Amino acid sequence: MVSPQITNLVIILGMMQVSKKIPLDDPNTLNLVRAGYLLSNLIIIAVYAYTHLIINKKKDMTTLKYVEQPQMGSTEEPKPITTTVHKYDVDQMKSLYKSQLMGIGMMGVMHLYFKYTNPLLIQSIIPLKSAFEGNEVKIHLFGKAAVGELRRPFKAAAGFMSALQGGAAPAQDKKSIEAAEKAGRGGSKEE
Amino acid sequence: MAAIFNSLFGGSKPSASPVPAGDSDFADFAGAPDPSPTPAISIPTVASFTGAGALPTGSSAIPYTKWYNVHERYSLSDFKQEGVILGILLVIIAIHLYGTSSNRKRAKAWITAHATTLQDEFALVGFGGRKVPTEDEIASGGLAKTLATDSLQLPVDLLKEKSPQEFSTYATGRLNVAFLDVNLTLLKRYSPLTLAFEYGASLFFDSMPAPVERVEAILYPFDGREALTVPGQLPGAHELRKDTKSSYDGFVWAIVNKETMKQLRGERYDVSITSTKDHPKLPNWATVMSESSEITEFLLTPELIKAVESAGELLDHIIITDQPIDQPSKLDETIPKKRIYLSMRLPSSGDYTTLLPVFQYFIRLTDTLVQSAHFRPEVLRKVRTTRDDTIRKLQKADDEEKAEEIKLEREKVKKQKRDAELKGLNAKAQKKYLEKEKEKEMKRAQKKQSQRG
Repeated sequence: MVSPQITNLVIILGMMQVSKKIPLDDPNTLNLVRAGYLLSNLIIIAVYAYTHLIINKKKDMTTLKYVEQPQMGSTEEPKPITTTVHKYDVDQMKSLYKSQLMGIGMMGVMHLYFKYTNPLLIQSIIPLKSAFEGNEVKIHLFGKAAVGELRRPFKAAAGFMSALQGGAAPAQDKKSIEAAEKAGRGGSKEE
Repeated sequence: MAAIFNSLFGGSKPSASPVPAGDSDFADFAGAPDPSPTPAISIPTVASFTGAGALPTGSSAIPYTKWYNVHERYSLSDFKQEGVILGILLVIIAIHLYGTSSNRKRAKAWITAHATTLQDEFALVGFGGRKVPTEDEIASGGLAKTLATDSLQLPVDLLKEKSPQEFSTYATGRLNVAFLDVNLTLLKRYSPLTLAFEYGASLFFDSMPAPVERVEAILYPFDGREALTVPGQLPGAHELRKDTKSSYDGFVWAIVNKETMKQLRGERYDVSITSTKDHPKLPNWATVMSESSEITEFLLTPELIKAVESAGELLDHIIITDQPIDQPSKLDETIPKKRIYLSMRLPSSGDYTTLLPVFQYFIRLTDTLVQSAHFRPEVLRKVRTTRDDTIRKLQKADDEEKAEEIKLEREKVKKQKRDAELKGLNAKAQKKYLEKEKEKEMKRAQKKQSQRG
């Protein structure tokens, strides 16, 4: 399967050409495109909500331990996280909701304030696509086994930015968990 | 704004010309028929009614205008705005009253459910002061029982309302326990807007937890320091009690609801020095945080497991600790202080029967600890290492700070000496001295450079 980033790029380039052809000056067409954008967001929300429902129904209370590696350059020690699969999934869903709302907010500003119309088209396809490619949706909606790529904790999608930030993948080996767990990092006041 | 003022004060428009004075400045009124006599004259005469010879007011002939009758000047429709404001105010007051009273009801339900347990265990519960029991009462058995029966009717004494959403109670006077603090935190039912905002914020910010109703109890064991905490003991009382010393080994151990364990480990220092391990005997939503598996085996009694199971997922945590909640930054803060924490969410149904066993067990936990929480040295060595490491780390930081201070002091003295020397010399010698100093510094810098290179 082709990496989602490449397909995204292809879609973006393709849609940019298509959006040139669409007469966005025509109010009728514009309204149609707007409706499409809203519809796509509604579908995404529905998919997320349904996934969330499944997660809550499963309520997998298996303990999940991992060590969050600090960002490159920071002097912080690796942070141990002890949680459950259920809680981890819910947190992931929360961040998905958050990012979707952020996207809508950005789009709202761009469209309503700056009167950009072109991004509407791309923004109604890309987020929809990535919603179905999300790890949580894959596991719970499509029932894929949580192994390999889908093993929790998820690795951050390899991309241009993550290479720069250099956040190492969360460690899950027994040794580093045990070392970090008893370090007593909790309750520090400066955070 | 103007519109508001207009509607507030502008009701007089339709009334007749207000002051029918014959003021020629007003061109509008110049043409109007002059009503006579002018009130400017008539008012003083009316005002002199203290005098004996008051004029008959009726005959003073004040012209009848709407201006003088409030009920005719305004109609109800002029007060629409006030009506709306008053309505909103009433709604707000009603919500507030409803919220505070339902919170009070909930708190009362909690204390009525728990008062018997508390009074069975403690000599003093609440803020009503201690009723001195008579000898007959003691003789007839169970001082707790007599107290329980006669003061259950006044939960006002037992429970203090700190704010409309916070209630607290206090208990003391028990073997092995110095005192017990219980805090109830309820929803802000009296302010639905705040409540909605808190819910909304909790969706977006991890640092803001969603508002929940919970009861948090902190129990402070005596830990062998009865003489220090209880005033007015008879001399020698402490020696008499030596055989039943109420101290036990310090450690951190907790049963934690898995939903909150991530947050708990981040927020509290004491549980973050433990390791989390699921226990097969516990229900799958709970886990144990312990410093040693032997301590776990000792504390995880069948009775406790049963109590935890009965409380269900309403139980947040039970923590037995001797470490501070905040990460110690000074050596003083590492001194162990033993406490036992219990946190439970309140059931929305208000049925506390399932929660009572945990609460009871929590109070009686000190007895078990005092009796047999004295572990083998091998177990304690592990526990002590963690604490010693922290102490050593802090000691090191402390020493470094002290060294820095000494260094600064030394430099200061040096500079003072140099200044004094310089002062005592004449101009020529001063110049020479400064040159010499410069040379010395240059040499030192060169030496450093060559060393580095």
